[in-house]
Parts: sequence; C-alpha cells; structure tokens
Amino acid sequence: MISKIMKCLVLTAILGMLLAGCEPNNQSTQSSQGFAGLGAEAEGFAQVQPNPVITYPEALAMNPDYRIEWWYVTANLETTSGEPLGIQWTLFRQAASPSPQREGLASQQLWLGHVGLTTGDQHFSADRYGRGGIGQAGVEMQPFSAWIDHWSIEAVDENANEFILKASEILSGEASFGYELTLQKTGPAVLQGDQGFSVKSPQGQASYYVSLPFLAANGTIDIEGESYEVSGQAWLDREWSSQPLAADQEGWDWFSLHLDQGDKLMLFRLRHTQADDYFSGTYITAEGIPHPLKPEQIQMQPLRQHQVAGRPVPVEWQLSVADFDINLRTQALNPDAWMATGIAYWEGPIRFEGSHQGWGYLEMTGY
Amino acid sequence: MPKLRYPSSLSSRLSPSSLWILHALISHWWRHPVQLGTLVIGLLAATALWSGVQALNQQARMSYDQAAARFDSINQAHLINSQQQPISQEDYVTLRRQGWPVSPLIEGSVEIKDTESLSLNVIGIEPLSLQTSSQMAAPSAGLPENLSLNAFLTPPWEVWVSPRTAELLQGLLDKADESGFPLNPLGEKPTIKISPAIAHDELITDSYLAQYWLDMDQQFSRLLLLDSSFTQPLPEDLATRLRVIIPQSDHDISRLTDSFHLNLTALSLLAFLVGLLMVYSAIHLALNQRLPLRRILISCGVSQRQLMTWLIVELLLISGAIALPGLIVGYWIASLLLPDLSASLAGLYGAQVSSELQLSWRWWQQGVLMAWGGTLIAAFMPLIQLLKRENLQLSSNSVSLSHHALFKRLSWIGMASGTIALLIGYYGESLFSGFLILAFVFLSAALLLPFLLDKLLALGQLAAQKVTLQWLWSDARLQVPHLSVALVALLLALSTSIGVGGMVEGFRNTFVGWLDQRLAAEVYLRADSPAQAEEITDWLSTHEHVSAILPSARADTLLGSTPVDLRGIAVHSTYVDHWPLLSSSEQAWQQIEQDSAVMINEQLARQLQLNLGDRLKLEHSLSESTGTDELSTEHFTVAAIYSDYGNPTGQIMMSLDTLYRFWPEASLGSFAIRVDSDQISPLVSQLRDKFDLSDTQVLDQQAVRNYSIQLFERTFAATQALNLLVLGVASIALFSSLLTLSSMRLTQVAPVWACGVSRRQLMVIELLRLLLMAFMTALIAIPLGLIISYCLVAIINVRAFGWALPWQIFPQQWLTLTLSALVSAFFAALIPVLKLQLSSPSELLKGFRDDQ
Repeated sequence: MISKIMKCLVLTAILGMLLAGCEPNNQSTQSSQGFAGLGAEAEGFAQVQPNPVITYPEALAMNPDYRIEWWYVTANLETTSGEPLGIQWTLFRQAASPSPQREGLASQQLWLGHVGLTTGDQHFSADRYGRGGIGQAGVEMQPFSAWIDHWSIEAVDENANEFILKASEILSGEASFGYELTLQKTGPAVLQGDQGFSVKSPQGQASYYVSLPFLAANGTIDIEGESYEVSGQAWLDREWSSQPLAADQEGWDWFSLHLDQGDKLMLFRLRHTQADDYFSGTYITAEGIPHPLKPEQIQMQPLRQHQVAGRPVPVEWQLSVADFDINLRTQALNPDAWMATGIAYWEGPIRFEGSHQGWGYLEMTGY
Repeated sequence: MPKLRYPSSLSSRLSPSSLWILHALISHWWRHPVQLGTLVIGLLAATALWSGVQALNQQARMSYDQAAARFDSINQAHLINSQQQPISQEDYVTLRRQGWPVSPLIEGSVEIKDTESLSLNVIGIEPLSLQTSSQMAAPSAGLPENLSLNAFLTPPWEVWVSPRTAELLQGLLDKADESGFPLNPLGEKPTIKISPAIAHDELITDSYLAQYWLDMDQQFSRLLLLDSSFTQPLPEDLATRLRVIIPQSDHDISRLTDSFHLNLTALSLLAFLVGLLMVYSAIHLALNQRLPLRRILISCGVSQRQLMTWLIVELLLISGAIALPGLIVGYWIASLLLPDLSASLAGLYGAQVSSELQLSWRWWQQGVLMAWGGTLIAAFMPLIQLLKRENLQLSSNSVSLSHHALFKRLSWIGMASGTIALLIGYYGESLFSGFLILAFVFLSAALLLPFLLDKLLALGQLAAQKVTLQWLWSDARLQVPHLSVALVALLLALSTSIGVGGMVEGFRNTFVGWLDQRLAAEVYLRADSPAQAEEITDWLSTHEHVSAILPSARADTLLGSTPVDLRGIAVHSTYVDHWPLLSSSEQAWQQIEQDSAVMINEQLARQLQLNLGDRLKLEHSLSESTGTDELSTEHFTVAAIYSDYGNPTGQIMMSLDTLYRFWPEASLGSFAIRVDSDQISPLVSQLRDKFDLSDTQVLDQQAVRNYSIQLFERTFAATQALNLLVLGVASIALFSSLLTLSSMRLTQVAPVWACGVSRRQLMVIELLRLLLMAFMTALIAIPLGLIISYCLVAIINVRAFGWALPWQIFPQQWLTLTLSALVSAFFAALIPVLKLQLSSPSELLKGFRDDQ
C-alpha cells in the first residue's frame, strides 16, 4: 500500500510540475501552462535557437541543460498470421531545476517512461517514473542507450544503425504485455522543421526535432503470456526544448504516416484555447528528403468522435496536404487506445485510405 | 370543528387545520413537567453518551487512517538486507532495472540539540519510484495543494512534519545559527512544510537529504515492495543479500485497536440503552395518561391514523429538539476523555491519536438520527399497545394476570439467551463473539429480573406474619411491573460497575505487583550510542556504591514471518529473584545462561501458540566461518513465558552472550543499575551531568513505576468515566420512575390509610419497600457483575490485548455499590414519599373517587 501522502506528493507534484494539468478536467492548469506543463516558463534553461546544426547519431544524446526532451518510438507491426498491431515506447526527461547539474540522488533530472501495445481488440499501457543520477533511468552514448527500469532502447553499434527495443509490464491481475524488437535503420535521419528547428506556435515556441522514419522492425511481442512473431515499420522521434508549447495550447493531434512507395508524412495540429489552431508537418520522400509544410497547406478534419475514458476523442480524420496531392481518410485500429497513465492521452495505430494507403500512428492529447 | 375522517394523503393529515391535534397532545407535557424532564434527561443522556463515544472512535479512526498513510514498514511488504545491514543504492538500481516495483526508504533518527534535546524520526523517501502503473490512483484529498515535487527534490529541499513538530522546530529555526537544526549539504536550512497526515516526532524528506543526515551515503534502510503480489524470485546475486518480508496483517494497528473501540462502543450502547429505558417509561406513562384525551379527540372526529401520526410527529419534534443539546454534551464528554484515550492508545498499541477533536458533519447527522431512531424504538411498544387498546376494557386484575404471563414468557426468553451466551462462550473464538456473550448475558439478566424479583417477593410474602407486612410484600409485587424498566436499568448499571470495576481493580493489582517485580533495579538508563554505553559502563564500574551493572541489548529478527523484538540481558540474581514468570521449566535461568534457551512474552506465546519446551527457529545474521553469506538459523528452546503487560509486540529474551553470539550487530543501549538505596538520586544526577543525558534517559525506579502506573490509570480512565455515567443515568431512571409512579399510588395507598394505617407509617413502608427492591436488584447484580468481569478478564482481554489476568473478586466494591444503589433509591423515593406525607386526607379520599 502506498501511503496517501506519497500518492499525493507524487501525483500533485508530477502533475503540478512535470506534467501539469494532465487531468482532463483541470482546465485552469492547462490554460496557464499548456498541456502537461509543456508551456511552462523556462527561465534558467538553455533556449532553442533557429539554424541549429544537428548531426546523427549525436542527436540521440541527452541535453540536460534543456528543460525537457523525449525519445519516442512507434511501430506498426503485423503478426505472422497477418494480425495488425502497434507498439509505443517513450522516455521523457524533465529537469526540476536548471544547471548546474547535481550528482547522485541530488540530480534534478526526472524521468518518465510510457509504453503501449495495441491490437484490434486489446490495448495495454503502463508508465514508470525514475530518478536521475543513480542509474535507474538515463541516456548514454557510444553506443546510444536510453532506459528507465527494465524498459530500454539500445543501439547495437556506435553509429546507431540498429537498435534493440524492450519493454514489459505486469499489470494488475493476470494482464501483462511486452515486446522485444530489433529496429534496423533503412534510411537517413530526417531534420523536421527548418533544419531541425520546429516551430510550435505563432508566438515562436519551438523545439529541436529529428526523426528516424525509416526503421524496419522485427521481433516478438507478448500478450498475457502468449508470444507472437512480428515485423513491420517503426518511427523514432527525438525532440528537446525548454518551452515547446505556448501557454494556451491545450493539446495536439499528431500523425506519423508510412505512405506507399516508402514516402513518409508527419503532421500535427496544436490546439489553442485563445486563438486559431497551429498546423505544421513535413513530407519526406522515400529517399529521406524533407519538405517542410506551411500551415496553410495542411488540412486536418476530425470526422468521428468516439467515447473513450469518459470523453469524446476524434478517432477518424480527413487529412489533406495541398501541392502534394495528399487526401486521406484515417481510421483507428482500436478506437479504445487510451493511455491510462499518469498523464493520460490517446495513442494508437491507424490505417488510412484515399490518395495513398498504409499504416501510421496517431497521438491525441488534451482531450 | 373539521371532520377529517379518512384523509387520503399524509399532507392532508398534517395540514395546518389539524395542528390543533398536535397542540392538544403537546399540552400534556406542560402539565406534567416531571414526565417531560424524564424524557429529556433520558434522551439527553442516551444521545450524549452514545455520540460522545462515537466522537472518540471517529477521532481515533481518523488518526489511524493518517497513521496508515505513513511509512509503517511493519505493515508493508518490503525487502531488507539479511545481515541487518543497509541496502546499497546499487542493489536497488539492479532490482529496478529488472522490473521490481521497489522504492527505497531511509529511516533513522536525528537528535536536535537545544535547550532540551528533541529526537525526530527521519524518513527519507524517493517519490518517483513510489509510483508504478499498477499503483495508479486518484490523488487523495486532505493535503495542501502547494505540495510540489520540484521543491521537494531540489535545494534547499523540504521536510514535512506534523503541525505540532513544526511548532517545536520553528522556535529552533528562528534562532538562526545556534540552533541544532540539521542543514542540507549546501549549508542551508530546508523548508519546513506542515501536514496533519504526519505523525508527531516524524520528519519526511527526500532520500537524498535523509542519506546525508543519517550518514548513509548511497545506502537505503529498506526497500518497499509496492506490489506485494509481485512474485518473481530475487535475482541470484541478490538472493544471498536481500530478503523479501511480507508482513502478516496481525500487526495492523486498526485491528488491534478495534477491540478497544468495541469495548467503548459496547459501554456507550449500554448507556444508550439505559437512557432509552427512561424514554420508554416516560412515553409509556404519557400515553396512558392521555387515554382520556384520546377518547375526546376520537369523538371529535380525529381518526386513529391521524392520532398516531401526530403522536409520532410530537415525539420526533421533542427528540429532535433534545438531540442538539445532547450532541453538545456528547462533544464535551468526548473532549474530556480524549487526552486519556489518546495516551492509552499510544501506550497500548503505539497508535497516535490527535488530541484535538475534529468532527465531521456526519457525526452530527448520525447523532440526530440515533436520537430519532432511539425514540421511535422506545415508543414502538407503547404505541402498539395504544392501538391494541382500542376495543379492550382492562381491569386491574387482568393487568396483573397478564403481567404474570408476560414475566413467564420473558423469563423463558431470558433463559434461552442465557443458553445462547453459554453456547457462544463454548464455541466462539473471536473478540466479537466475546462481546456477543456479554450482550446475551445482559439480555438474559434483564429479561429474568422481573420474574426473579416477583419470586423473591413472593417468598417474602409467605414468610410475613403481620397483615401490614403481607400488604408490603404483595404491594411490592404489584409494583414490579411498573418499576421493572427502572430496575432493569439499575441492574445493568450496577452489574457493569461490578464487572468493569472488578476487571480494572484486578488488573491494577496484577499490574502493580508485576511492575514491582519487574522493576527490581534501582536506576534505569538509556545511552545515546553504543560508544557512550561503553563509556558509561566503564565509569559505573569504578563507582563505589554501584553493586551491579546489568546491560541489555536489543535486535530485531523474524520468527517465521513474524517480526520479533530480541532482548539480551545479563543473567543476574536481580532477574532470577524477581522477573515475573507465568510458567517456566526447571532451572529456566540456568538454561538461558548456559544453553540455547530463551524466554518469550505472553503475547508471543498466545499469538503463535507456543508452549514451554517448544523449539523456535530464529534467523540470525552471523556469517559462518565457511565465508558464505548464507543466512543462518538457530534453534532455541522456550524455557519460560513471562507476562509483559502493555507491550504490543512479541518479545524474546535471552542471555546477552547468546544475543551477541548470533546477532553481533545488536545494539547495546540500556542498563539496569543496582545501587545502594540512599545513593539513587546522587547517582542519577551524576550520570545526567557527566554524560549529558536527558531526564528521560536516566530514571530511578520510582519514576519508571509512576510513569507506568499513570499510563495504566489513563488506559482505564475513559472506561471508568463512562461506567460512572451509566450508573448516574440509571439512578435518574429510577428516580423518575418512582416520581411518576407516586401519582398513581394514591388509589392503592388510600384504602390502607382508610384501614387505619397512619400516613407516617405508610411513608416508612413505602420507603422500605423501595429500598427492598433496590437491595434485591443489587443482590442479583453481584453474580451478574461477576459473570461480566469473568468474561472481560478471561475472554475479552485475552482476545483484545493478548494477555490473561487472574479473575479476582472485590467484595468491598459490591458493598459500596449496593450502598450507592440504596442511597440513590432512597433519594429517588424521598420526593414521592414526602408528597404522600404532605397529601391531605381529602386528597387520599379522592383516591376512592377516582378508583373505578
């Protein structure tokens, strides 16, 4: 039994600082700090500047002077019998205070991991919290490895061309899930936005943003004791910033799509409470050449709301990108892919049809 | 006058136009203020005593809930180092990285030196790892919203304390540099945060600061296992060092203290019952006296249903109006008893109960509902009787006949409940069944009392020769039905007093005797550290008046999975001659000194059902010479069982040598010192000065004894106070019954007066008869009280506290109680009797006129 005070300490604290206002009804905190506190003031931390020089694999390294960053993997997979499914693996780092960095238990670096696994009729999610400075969670280079507890992603070599991704969790009762995948890099790392400088609001909030959209995934997944061989394609995102969101941004709708013929598309919409929504995205050719999209080129239209975790969430979308002849209709593999974690949101695999067809991932926060 | 014959709805029944019915009914009370007084006092007492005890229980439960919110490592699954060493940070990380849901805890104490030293239990936590997927829950209310992880984890860090501790610390912090408040590694003072959820003397802070203060760099005291259903085996390399402890729920504070509250609740229910008996007799009488009014109302066209409705409305109005003052009195009683209660709970179970009364609105709500519910229950029988009476013409003869039949029926039910009590006593094993026995014993006695009194009085009637005496006996028999409710109240109160009084007095005798045996040494001392302990030993050994230094050491271990407290003592004639043993094998002390034999306390023996000669398998931390880190166990024989009143935990006592041989890390800390009796106080003050020991660290025998006895008295203060209140309520019940009876007596006394018995004689006879009945009730109360005290001592105490007491009897108490019953009966009878004395012959003549 966790003590009440600790529950409160942890929850209010994490909700209040690391991820302020994750509670769906907590409109006041959302509006003052943006979703999950990502719009909080960032005094004392390093600031994101235009025209960065970002190289790979250095982009995988930790940037402790910035307030927040994450390593984020999604994969659209298929079992040998052709059942589609998806997995998610995310590690967040948040600094409780600016530099200088403190050693050991005094470290101000706090870590949070999220993992998910979604099939057509099942969805699992779990989160873990960890303290920096003692080895429970962290990121190392040469070769790259990022972990929290027993969830990890590790590069096999120093150039980070291949990764091993692992997670497993025993949930209450009999429920358990896990996966172990090899991710083979089949294309270049892609800088999002302007050379990796990705603007998130008209006020200029931004982050550094690098993607590995070309990853071939193979391995096994476990669902309640049963093992399945899987393969498919994965997408890794790296992002760091000190204030990635504007204070009035209450959430986002983010898409990563594997188009046919190997092209990729990333789109997001940041929803403002007091202004028009902010749109951004990148069209990536099969060769890995990014074409940043202007807000006015993007149209994202929710088509159908689905009631999940007591709130309506748009699980079907009409997406179109002018000048690239993209007109898609997306549908969730499992509309109940709700991440029932400390910060709760919807995240799951989607399929799409229209001008192109294929699979991708959708993340929707702030509902 | 409106004729509302068969109104269709309640609203029309209660329409303003029919309010005159209520007015007519209520006017009765203004004409009979004594009856109203009886009703008010009965209900007031019932509500006050019940709600007072409920307030205490509620307060205590709230405190337990808060305590449960603390890190009680006894009650939580956790991992420890098998060698009683700290756990390294590295091992913790290894476990986390293998998916173990563990969170580190650092425990220790810091002394804060100032004008008087203050010792705080430091609890260092790691808030992030405390959170796991399966443990997700909504944030709990009750803590301030300004709690921020950011501040908790970053300089200058935070310390969370109770409001009381904060007050103590604030004084120190304000004094800047010279205060002994520990600083953080950066030389700053941490921010003090206050939460009522934290126990007094406890300080919760981040693991980093706790490691620094307790000098435990990269080490943890233990790891909490957040999911006790996590069944993975320990990784091989850690299995030799670490152990998983899954505690037994037996150690749950609230389970232990439940017994205490059950005890109080039982007493308050009894008080409630006695109060309701008063309410019952008042309502019963009021309804009877309003029979003529009822006839008038019905002839005016009021229906039977309307009348009933208005009678209930009237009762609810009155009881609602009394409930509020009743609750206020209850609050007052609770606030008087709370300090003693919290002291005794702390002493008995180590449970902390806040001494400030905080009551929720539910308490008020419950109180009012109890008052209404109680009134309705008390009014149920009289109202039913009223309904039945509709077509019955009752003669006084048939009343007495029906009463005899009723007595018989009641006595059969009484005997049946007595049998049930015996059966439960034979088959029941739980504490609750212990209280059920008491309930059935009371029920049985209450039901049998009228029958017994009737039979006793019939015997007296047979023996009486003179006509007046015969009249006295038979008239007393006639009065039994009218007085039986009050007499039952008296019986319950008296027998409870005898039972509880006997138990407390018996316990006191045993406890004081035990204390005198156990406190054989003259001075007791607790050192700050093992180093200081050694220093003190050296100094004492050179002291000319000190004849013996008896060190003792302690360690913790597990017996199976039960945590036990190990005590090592130097076997010395002081113990051999005095230590109170309940049972022992021959040569127990020699066995302990020479062999692997131990003594265990009664609690442990009862909990694990251990007997003399049983072998205990204890885990110890001694590394064998083979060099392996394997955990070793050793078998010990139980050579004796000793009584250990007031200790909530199991204890094993062995010789100091044995303890050190198997538990080298045992901490030496306290001493018993034998010194010439005239040298006690010089030695105490020398020790205090020389080693800078506080008042509580060096104590002479007398001080320890006084402290223990004081704790004992406080333990039973609430019980005894309630007991006394019940007795008081019963006296009032008797008084009011007699008062109301006296007005009905005229018709029975008038013929006797007409036969030539003087008013003075009549008065004496009246008094005698009443004293006789009170005396007989007291006589019946004595065996009943003894049965109750036996139940308390031999059944309830054993199940609630884990120790048995000898069943002792205290005839002097019986005498006092019998006398007090007679005195209260005397005073209760005085006013009605004086009324008789003052009644004029014309009034007595009126008795003939009224007699139909």
